[in-house]
Order: sequence, then structure tokens, then C-alpha cells
Amino acid sequence: MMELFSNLWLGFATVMTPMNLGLCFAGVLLGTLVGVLPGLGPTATIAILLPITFTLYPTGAFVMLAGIYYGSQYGGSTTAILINLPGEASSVVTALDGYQMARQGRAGAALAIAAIGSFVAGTVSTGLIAIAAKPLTQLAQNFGPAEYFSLMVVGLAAAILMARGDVLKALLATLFGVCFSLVGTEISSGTSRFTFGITELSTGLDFVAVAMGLFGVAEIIRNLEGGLKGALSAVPVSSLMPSRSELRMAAPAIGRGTLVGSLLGILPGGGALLSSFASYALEKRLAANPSRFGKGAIEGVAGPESANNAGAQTAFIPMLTLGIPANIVMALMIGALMIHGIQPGPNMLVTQPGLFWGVIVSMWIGNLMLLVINLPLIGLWVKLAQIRYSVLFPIIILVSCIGVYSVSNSAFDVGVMAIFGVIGYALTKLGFELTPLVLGFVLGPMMEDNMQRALTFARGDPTIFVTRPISGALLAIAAAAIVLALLPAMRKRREVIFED
Amino acid sequence: MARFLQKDILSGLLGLLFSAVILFSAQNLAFMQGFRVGPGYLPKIVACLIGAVSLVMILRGLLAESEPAESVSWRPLILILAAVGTFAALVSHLGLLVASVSAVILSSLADSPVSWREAVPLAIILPAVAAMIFVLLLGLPLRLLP
Repeated sequence: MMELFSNLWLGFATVMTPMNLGLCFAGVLLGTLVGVLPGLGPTATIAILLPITFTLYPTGAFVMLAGIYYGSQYGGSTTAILINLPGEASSVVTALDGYQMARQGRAGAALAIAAIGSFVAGTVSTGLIAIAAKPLTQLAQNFGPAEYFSLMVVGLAAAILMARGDVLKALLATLFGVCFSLVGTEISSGTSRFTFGITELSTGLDFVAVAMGLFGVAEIIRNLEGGLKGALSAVPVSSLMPSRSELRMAAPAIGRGTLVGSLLGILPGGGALLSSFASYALEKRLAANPSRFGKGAIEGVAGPESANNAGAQTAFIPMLTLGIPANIVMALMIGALMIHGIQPGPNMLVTQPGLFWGVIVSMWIGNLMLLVINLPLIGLWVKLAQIRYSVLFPIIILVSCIGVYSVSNSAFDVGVMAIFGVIGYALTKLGFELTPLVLGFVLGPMMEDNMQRALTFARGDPTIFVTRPISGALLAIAAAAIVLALLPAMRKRREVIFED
Repeated sequence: MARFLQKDILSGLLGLLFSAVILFSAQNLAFMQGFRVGPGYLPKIVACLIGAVSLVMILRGLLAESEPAESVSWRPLILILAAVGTFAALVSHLGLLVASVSAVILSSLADSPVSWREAVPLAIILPAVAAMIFVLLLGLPLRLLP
């Protein structure tokens, strides 16, 4: 217990420098600012703002990225409540009851409850991360390459299980992602692979360019082909204070949402999205009068908003302790860390304790800042949310181009972004989810590295993955996840969860 | 013909093509080097998996009708691609300002109907603002002019 406090103290000491606090603040502000813009969810927001952090030192960059993440998430719920425009999928459920509350003149209360719920959930889950970090890291330090490889297979399998839509397509997208990650020079033998004689490809496809193509450019093309035009009208915000009876109804929902979100966030592929859907379903089931839902029930805002924030936070657990991204945002974070030369995973706690605990503490501080800065700035957010998309999208294109170009002054990378924009558009047209693809892209090189080391150790005998007990058990879990995902009963359940 | 224009069948064909390209360009990469795993090991396994999943998907499309393919919106696709592509082609030689103007104008054309009253001011203001923020404020080493 004492150790926990001394660790958290180290974190506070790391974050409480004026520079880091400033970066955290800037991140939260920028994240909200971009997050409220129509058509930009957390993933696109982080992808676009990623290059800004490259000029910083690692701790500062990571603190700022974490701030951007919460900010964009919160920005998404603000627009969901005020103009019925969820910034991303995890705010879809917030819009259901939040917008109805706004139309009944309770917009301020809905926003306040969302902010309070997020803060409570953020505080609890930050504590959970601090507690879980040490034992999980110790467990992971006993892992050899075979266990790591199998663990990553579990991560990908779970992402496939949790993905929306078709399981086969999620599987295929993951494999595509792994293939794209193999482009370039193979490390152990120095052979160049899939470069097709292009010199620029010998260092591999640039992660930022790929992510911005898939989530920035492709998204714009999709938005332009339908909807998202013209200004949207917002509901005026009056008093921010929730009434006493609203608070009484919201409090237990916040507690339950925090619990549901914290648990689901840890699962690979879970994170914020599944958490908010599951919490909404739970609140509706527990309610004395379920018919209120969809007509402005405050539990329908409090539960999911707490759950998605808790899930967004606990998703850091597998990333910080095992180096495995639980969702797409974590994959982006890992990519960013690796650009700074830091390999996320169990060694981070030993080699970079300041960074590790600093990030954990900065999450809590980021949440506190959100609470303080967002409520007074709601008027500004509403104005931003009403910017016409026809003005916005050329700006996003230009910022993306300059951002990708500035990473290494490479025009080639801008071209890669354009091509991945087309790939992303084509794949979504065919009904693919892009999340498994990016997870495959990030995990691909790590998987190959661990696989090679395990097989070298076993003198080329692939049965090592099954005969080592932990590795074998992990692979069995992965196989079970895929089989489960393919079962017709499970397929129906997935549809119910996402469409309910 | 319309029978084949389903999402499942098109996805499966795309996967088969992808796996063929990988297997073809990986043919000279060693699968094993003695007891060590060669650079061709993982690519070949993954390519075979892609091929297998794609075949299942095509079969599924043939047996049970899947969703029909959606039509492609060529206008935003081509113009956004052109906007990013010309930025890439111009930025190193003609500098940030020229590349930005062309990127903003081309991407504005992707919207239909094009609003010139918005596009023209944007094409003038945005490159100037971008130059100010990225070069003067953030100090990125970008060339501004030809």
C-alpha cells in the first residue's frame, strides 16, 4: 500500500511541472476543440494532432496525448447532447437520452452530469490502473517470446470478437494490417520485403501516414458522399445545475457505469464503445420504468458517459503493462511512443518509472481539468460544433497534409496517406471495420519478432507455442474467441448489443 | 453479373488478389534458414490464411446472397486524392504556400455544389494561417516559397 502511494507520488512529482501541466491543459483543450467539430471523433482527432507531439520530449508528448484523448471524448458527448450529433460511436447512446433532455430544457443538467460522471469514473479507474499495474507487470516479466506471441494473438482474436459487423471481414482486416506492417527491411536478416523497388519503402510504411489516411482522409470522403452538410441547430443551454432528484437518479447509474466500463475497458477490442452500449442496456434493464429511456432519462446519460470514460481509461492497463493495445486509440498511442523510441510494455515500469506513473497521474489531472474548463466554455464548443462541414474539411485536409509531411519532411509519406485514404474508403464500402486493420498493423512487427525468437529457441519447432503451458492456454483462449465469434448465437447477440 | 456485385464476393476477390500479390513477391524470401525462421515465414503463412478466409467469403457470397455492393462516389474520392496527391508532389519543390493553395482548391471542388464564396477566401486565408502557425510559431523546417 505504501508503495502504491510512493509510486503515485512519483507520478505527481513528474506531472506537476509547469511545462507538463501546461501540455496536459493544452491537450485537453485542443482535444475538446477538435472533438466537437462535426465529423471528427477521438480517433481522427488523435491521428490529426499526433504530429504536434513529436517535437516534444516523451513524457510531455504522452501527457498531452492522454489529454487530447479525454478532451476529444468529452467533445463528442457535448455535441451528442446539444445537437444530436455523436462525434463517434461511443457517444451514440449519449445522444439518445441526452438530446431529448436538451430539448426539454435540461441541456445544462445533462452536460453537467456527463462531466461529473466522467470525472468520478476517471478517478476510480485511475486508482484501478495504479493497483493493477504492478502485479500485471510482474506477471508479464515472466513471459518469454512464445507467451508474448500468443498474448498478441489473443489480443487480435478478442478485437475480432468485439468488432462490429462481420467476423470474417474483421479477421481479414487484421491479416491485411499484419501484411502492411511487414513492408520494409526485415530486422533479423536485413532482407527487404514488399518494397517493389521503391527506396522510400525500405523503412516501412509510416504509421502516422497510414493512420491519418485510414481515419482522416477516408472519413472525409465518406462524409462528403452523404449527409453532414450545412449548419446544425443547437439547443440553448440554460442552467448547468442538475436538480436534486436528477442527482439522486444519476448517482447509482454513475457507480454502475464506472464498474461496467472499468471491466470492459480492459478487454482487448472493448474500450469505450462496448462500455457505453453495455451500460445503457444495463440501466434500461434495471429501470423501474424502461419506457422513459429514449425520452430523456438521466440515467441514460449518466451511466454510459461514466462507462465510456472508465473504459477509455482502463484500456491503458494492457497497453502500459503488456504493451498490447486494447483499442484503436491505444494502438495510436503505442505508435506515438515508439516514434519517441519507447517500447510500451512491462519494461516501461522499470526503465521509465517517472513516465509510467506520470502518465497515470496525468489521466486524473486531465479529467479534473476537463471538469473545470469545459463547463464554462460550452458556449464556445457549441459555436465550433456548428461550423459548416464545407468549410471544415479543406482545413482538415490541409492540416493532415502538413502534419504528415512535417514528421520527416517526406512527400512520399503524404502520398502514402492518400493511398491509405483510398484503401480505407474502399474497405468501409465493402463493409470492413478499420480498427482490426490498425491493430494488426501495430502488432505485426512485434508478433513477428517474438515468433522468430521463440522458434529459434525451439530450433524451428512450432509446437513450442502449444506445449509451453501459458502460451498454450493463451492460444486456446484465442481459438475459443474466434469460434465463439463464428457461432450463430453469438453473432445474434453482437447485433443485439450494438443495435439495441 | 449483378449476382457477383455483392460485398462478400468482392471482398473475397480482393483478399485473393492481395494474397496472390504477397505470395508472388515473397517467393524468393526464405521460409526457413537452417533452424532459424526466415523472412518469408510469416508473410507466407499470413498470405495463405488470407487466401483461405477469402475463399470462405466467396463461397458464402455464392451460397447465400449477401448485401449488394454500394456505388462509389467518384467525385469526392478523386478530388480528395488529387488534393493530397498534388500537395505531396508540389511541397518539396514549390514550397508550402503553393502546395497548400492547390490542396485547398482541389478539396473544395470535392463538395457538390461547390461554394466559391467559401472556397476562394479559404484558399487565400488558410495557406497564410498554416504558414504562420507551422513555420513561424511551431518552427517546423518547411520551405515556404519556390
